Amino acid sequence: MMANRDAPIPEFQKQSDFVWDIPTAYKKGMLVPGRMFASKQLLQDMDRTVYDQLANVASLRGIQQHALCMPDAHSGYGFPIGGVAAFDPEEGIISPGGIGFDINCGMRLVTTNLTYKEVKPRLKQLVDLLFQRVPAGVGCKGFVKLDKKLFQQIMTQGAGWCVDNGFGWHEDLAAIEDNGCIKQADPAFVSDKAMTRGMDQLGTLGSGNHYLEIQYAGEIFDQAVAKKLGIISEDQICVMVHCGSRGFGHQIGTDYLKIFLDKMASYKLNVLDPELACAPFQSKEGQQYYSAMACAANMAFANRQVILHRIRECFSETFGKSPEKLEMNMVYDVAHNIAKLEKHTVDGKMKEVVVHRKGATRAFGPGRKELTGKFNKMGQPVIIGGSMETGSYLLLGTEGALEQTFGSTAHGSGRTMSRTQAKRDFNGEQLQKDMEKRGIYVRTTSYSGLAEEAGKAYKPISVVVDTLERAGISKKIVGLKPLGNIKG
Amino acid sequence: MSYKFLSDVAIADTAFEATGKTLTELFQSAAVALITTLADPKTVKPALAKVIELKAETVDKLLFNFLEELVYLKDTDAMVFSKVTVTVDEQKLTLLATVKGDTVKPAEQKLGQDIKAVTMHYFRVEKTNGWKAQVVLDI
Repeated sequence: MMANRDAPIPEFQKQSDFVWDIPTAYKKGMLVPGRMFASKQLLQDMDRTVYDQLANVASLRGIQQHALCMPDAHSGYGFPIGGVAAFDPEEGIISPGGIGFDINCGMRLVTTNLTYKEVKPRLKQLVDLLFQRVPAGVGCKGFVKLDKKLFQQIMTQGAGWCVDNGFGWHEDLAAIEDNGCIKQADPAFVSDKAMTRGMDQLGTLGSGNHYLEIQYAGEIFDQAVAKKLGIISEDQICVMVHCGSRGFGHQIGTDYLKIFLDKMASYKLNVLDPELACAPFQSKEGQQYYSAMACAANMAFANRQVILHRIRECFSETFGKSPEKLEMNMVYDVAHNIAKLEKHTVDGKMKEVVVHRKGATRAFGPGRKELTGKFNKMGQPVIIGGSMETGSYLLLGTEGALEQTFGSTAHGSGRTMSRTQAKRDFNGEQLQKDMEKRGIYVRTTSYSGLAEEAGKAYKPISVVVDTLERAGISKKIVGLKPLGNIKG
Repeated sequence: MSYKFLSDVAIADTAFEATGKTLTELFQSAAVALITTLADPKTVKPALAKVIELKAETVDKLLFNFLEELVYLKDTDAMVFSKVTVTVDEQKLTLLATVKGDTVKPAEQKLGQDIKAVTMHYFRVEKTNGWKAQVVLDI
């Protein structure tokens, strides 16, 4: 009863030093080739289950061009994490397993005008206050009290609801993917169970690899673009948040997984892994899931918005200045677990496709109509979250991503070690002490959880990001270094 | 009746194998693996009690729905667990469980990881000499 860790290594067809194809002959049923974005070393070190999972994705009805895999890929359930797949909206499917249970898990980056030297002496005070005010860990509840009616407003209005209700600034919305609100959301297709599970969780981090991190802009690769995004010096303090739609999205994923498993036979759909359960995109169930998924995506945008509000309060209290004076401006907010109907070039023609991104980020280059304001000219910011020990990156989407990956890129550094193994190899308390000696102050609700997130459990993020740049699907703008971290 | 966490099935998630001579024992083992992932049951007081009653068409669905119900209680009641007592009727495929635990109290409980979902990924229930199941939890 093992995962397919013994999957054969494919006979890769090299397209370039950073692009490798898995031919359809690799596994029976593949409709299109798999395509891996990876350096030779990352490819050699890749968890082999990824190949098998990518081949399974390549066999789903209506898939276009290639089943894609980003350099941070590792095995997931159903789709690999770091997977991107586009489906024809008429012939093809939508699959919750291509999005993940944590719908619109994503990243948010915020600037300050504080410097490393100003924050360092008050770092503990600041992190302790954030740890107190931003609920994290198992079963955490938020401070915003909602009833069913208000929660339904959040489902349809997303981050905009928060701004209208005093949790943020109007200009925040312009720096969120889809302005923090996906239009096709319809609460009619959300179960009561999902609502009761998520209603008390607005403004909470959760656990696993979710975090809130105080960072400094350790390395600026493109001064001009960084400046346009609000980052001007290498000692500037920023704040990064990684979390999603909490129990609400998780329940929607579970609900529709069960619905799709029961319905697949009636649509003559057969999948190689039950986690690839799917429905035709145009079917009643497919459209209902798409609407429910958007509700969860909007809740996740709202969740990160309320967390930002709390972060601003904590900074303001610690440094005795208003968040406006501290220039706590949004850089951007991106989703990395989502499906979207977008126009892309397929076989030389522009057409609509349903792009699934699971542990992958939209990375649109300049000119896309979805990008508004300054982003339309410069391209879309991409936030790549690394481990708590190694740092993260701010990138920019490119034309190359639109040409090669349906406008997509990686989402993080990617795990290489299982959680169970990491708990055996690392001790949470010791790790916390070691990190403090290196100048990184961490608070957590779970020491075993902290051990699971050790830097050595992840791929080297600089190698992943260099691969993205050299493959032409993202451009490096800023490297961010950790200073303080809150783990759930 | 026992369970063990598997280090080579899921990288970013938590996988376990549970066994039992009977279905009741299997479900009991799987429930303990799940509640132990959330928090060390020894550090949780039995301050609250919940009852779960379920019926399903297959053994697989009964186990999946049972574990999913525990995840649901964790979020709706902000609850971690000290003890689960379950009885499964193998013929009728029904289940009655009593779940004890407390609201989350980080100061007194040794918390583990939040569970997002029970997945269908390599989800299996097999009849061997007794019963064996493999479960991957999304973390």
